[in-house]
Amino acid sequence: MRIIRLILFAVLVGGLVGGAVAFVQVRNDLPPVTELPGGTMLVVPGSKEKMAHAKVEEPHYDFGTMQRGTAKSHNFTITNSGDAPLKLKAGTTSCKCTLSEVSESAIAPGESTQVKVQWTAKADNGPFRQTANIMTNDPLQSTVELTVDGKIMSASGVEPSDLMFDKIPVGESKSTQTFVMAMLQDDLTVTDPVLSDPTTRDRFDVKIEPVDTKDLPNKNARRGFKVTVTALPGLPAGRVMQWLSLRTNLQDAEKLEIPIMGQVVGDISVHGTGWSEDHSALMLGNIKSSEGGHAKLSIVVRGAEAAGTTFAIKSVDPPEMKVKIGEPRKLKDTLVQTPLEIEIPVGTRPMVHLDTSQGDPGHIVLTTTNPKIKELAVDVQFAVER
Amino acid sequence: MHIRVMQRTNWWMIVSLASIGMVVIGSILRGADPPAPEKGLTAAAQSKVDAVEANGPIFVGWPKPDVALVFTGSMSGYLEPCGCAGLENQKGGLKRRFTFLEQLRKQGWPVIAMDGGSQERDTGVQAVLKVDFAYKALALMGYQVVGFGENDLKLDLLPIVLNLDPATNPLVSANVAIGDFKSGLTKRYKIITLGGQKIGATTVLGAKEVANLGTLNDFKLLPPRQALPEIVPDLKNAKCDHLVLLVNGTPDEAKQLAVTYKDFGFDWVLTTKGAEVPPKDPSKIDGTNAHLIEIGEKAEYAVVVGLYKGGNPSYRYQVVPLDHRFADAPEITKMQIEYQHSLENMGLNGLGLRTTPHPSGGKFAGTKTCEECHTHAAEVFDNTPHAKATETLISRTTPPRINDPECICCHVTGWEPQKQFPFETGYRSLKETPALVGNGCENCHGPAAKHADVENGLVKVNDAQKEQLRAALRLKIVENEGNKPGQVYDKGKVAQMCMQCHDLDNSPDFDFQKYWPKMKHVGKD
Repeated sequence: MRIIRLILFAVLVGGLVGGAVAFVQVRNDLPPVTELPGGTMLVVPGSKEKMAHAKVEEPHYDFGTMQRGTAKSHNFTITNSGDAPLKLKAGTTSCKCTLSEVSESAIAPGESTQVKVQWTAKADNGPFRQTANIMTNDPLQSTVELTVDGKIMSASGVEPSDLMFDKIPVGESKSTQTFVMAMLQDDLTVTDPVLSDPTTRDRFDVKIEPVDTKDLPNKNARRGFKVTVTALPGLPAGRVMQWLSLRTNLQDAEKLEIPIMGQVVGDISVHGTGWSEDHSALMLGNIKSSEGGHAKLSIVVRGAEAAGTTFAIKSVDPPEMKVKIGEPRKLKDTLVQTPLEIEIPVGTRPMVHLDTSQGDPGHIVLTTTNPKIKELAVDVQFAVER
Repeated sequence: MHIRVMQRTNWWMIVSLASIGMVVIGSILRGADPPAPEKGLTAAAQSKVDAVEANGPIFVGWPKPDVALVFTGSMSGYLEPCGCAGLENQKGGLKRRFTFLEQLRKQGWPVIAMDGGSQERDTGVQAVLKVDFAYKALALMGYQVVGFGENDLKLDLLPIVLNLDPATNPLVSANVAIGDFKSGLTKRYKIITLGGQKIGATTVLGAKEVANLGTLNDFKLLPPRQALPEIVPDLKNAKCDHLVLLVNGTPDEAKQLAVTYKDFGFDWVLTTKGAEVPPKDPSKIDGTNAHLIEIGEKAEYAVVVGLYKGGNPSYRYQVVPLDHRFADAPEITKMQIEYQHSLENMGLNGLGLRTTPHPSGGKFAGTKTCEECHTHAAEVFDNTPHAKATETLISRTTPPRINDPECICCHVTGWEPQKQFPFETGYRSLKETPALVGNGCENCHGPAAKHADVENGLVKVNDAQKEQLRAALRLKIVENEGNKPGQVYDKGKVAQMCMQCHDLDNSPDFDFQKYWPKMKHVGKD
């Protein structure tokens, strides 16, 4: 009985003390609130001591439209609405292109100071927003956040930003285009097209022609040219990556470099992580025998024969490689995917198939029912080490 | 003796039970407290920068929501922030995002994660690998909805999507399909019931972006205003508590779509093309009941909308800076290791990085060759981080980034730093081109092999030609040259050259006028 009374007494005392502590904590979490600039509600401590209070009438300023490369600044006014001296210090900014200048001398109660925020428009076209934090000794808000925003307009524009061919069927010609535009000047010259990769440079044709402003994609453009690049038949299968360089008289872009992208593909192509188009090979690299290696590829068949094309394994060299053909999946009538799994099993003996003097790449041959392509070869570059 | 022991026991029992009572009663009374700590969910490793002080506390005063909608997007290839400037100064990265979501879930918050798309901004094989990484990471993080960006669709996405696990494939788009809308590789919308709330969500690629892409062989694209009427009635009929539209397009387009389809009652409309920094509060879209959400750029932030059924307020909104208060998730680090391993396997050739002649037509000699004559410059250079730039990629990064062209381009000699490809005779690998390690002299002065050969008497030229070769390598700093406001940037070449690597992403604190004195060197002595 004594033990029970002791337990009851302890729980009662503990409960009362715990409750009292928690009540104080909860009370501390829920004191009166005050409204700060921007409508944020903050908690006021129960202290009666004098304190500084930073008040910003307009913590946000709209710079409007800015030309890229220019800088603008705004003076924010911070008033000390408290009853103790207010101290300010420049804090962090959202971007190092934002600067804030703050006087470090204390502001007397009722007095104001100006904080200058400057921003240089270095980003691309479109909206911007940057913030500058000012540290304070105001116990209610250790940081005041000042915001500037607006829109950046470049003096020039290239739209679309690249020349994309997407898929170019082997042996066929295909064109793509972009527009070079001047937003702030009426005279525009676009000349001297040069392609970066000399090995395929002659397989492209570049045409530059002026365009009426109503046909330009950006309504702010005052002058524009259409640049059309045509891929001529004869490009090798694989990825197309070139840069088209152009000379202009634009203030902010005397030299333009526009990427040209695409992929020359046949009716049957192989894709997947580790697949190198340049080598037409799966790059598995060095594999530990104790771990083995594995890759999932996709054989994609395009065109009218896509749905009727199936694959079968004809040969695998070295025979240690395990190859599995999955079920074809129709993505649309003219696009069918067939999974191809390649495995170097755990425990495979050491071997080198890295396409070096030490050994040729692994080689898989598949037969197809496609009337245009009877066989598909898949190389695998790998080496198995202990 | 026995009594004294009993007395000790009684006091021990009283203190113990009192403590238990304090904890129990205290916990009950404190039950209404917000579950999320103000000093960051958990602080990462000790750091000289206090993330909470620098970027603010989060979820202050939040009770646990019925459901938390977590919005991200516009990662633009930033799988991780560049560590060059110190990660504590940078925001973003999938490792931190993973930890953030995990911590919300561990606190019992029902989370629906949605991403507006634009995983990548570059082109090429590495960009494809990065999107593959991103999709796998988003699936691992339990994302329910992920949209497409224009640049995502310029890449060879088909094999990536084909390799996604159908059970966790998060791709949702009202107007983009892989193959066609029946292929099943993407969903047109999703309805998710969680925390007692029914959320309907879809994404669209903006009209301009669709027009820019034109016709794509492997995808079906529809203008958003053609696609949305085909699916929004289904969303409305599902009688969701909240409808979400993620627009991979401008704020103006997002607002216009909200107005056009206001009868369908979208509550939350996201734009991926707002300003770099999201606003502190969502903005109400005039003429609708919808709020516009901006998510910033480079996925440096996540935006969380906490929903409270019947609550007052009915929602709370928080911009979460993904800074180092969130520790690196080992799950994503493991993926990073695999990704770096893939880059190594592919090699520069496999990544499609073809060499291009240097614009000057010159060939690279290597820093040691320069140092044979320019001894004072060598003394200065060897004591700067430039000399150890390549070593840094091996010893100071986890995993090592020595095979990553995005890092190599500024950490070796003889690469184009912004377009990230090697010049002919530029660095290829530690084994093939050991003389081109470090961010060497020739990255600024230009390839100097011929100049060195002439000076060493290996090639005979006349005096004028010799001087011409020297002059071509000289750089002159113009008066007040620098990269800060009020300094001369456009008329000089030196600061511009530095900014090729010391850009705002990788070196936000770079100040040419402060940095130059640390590596000041003049000619030959």
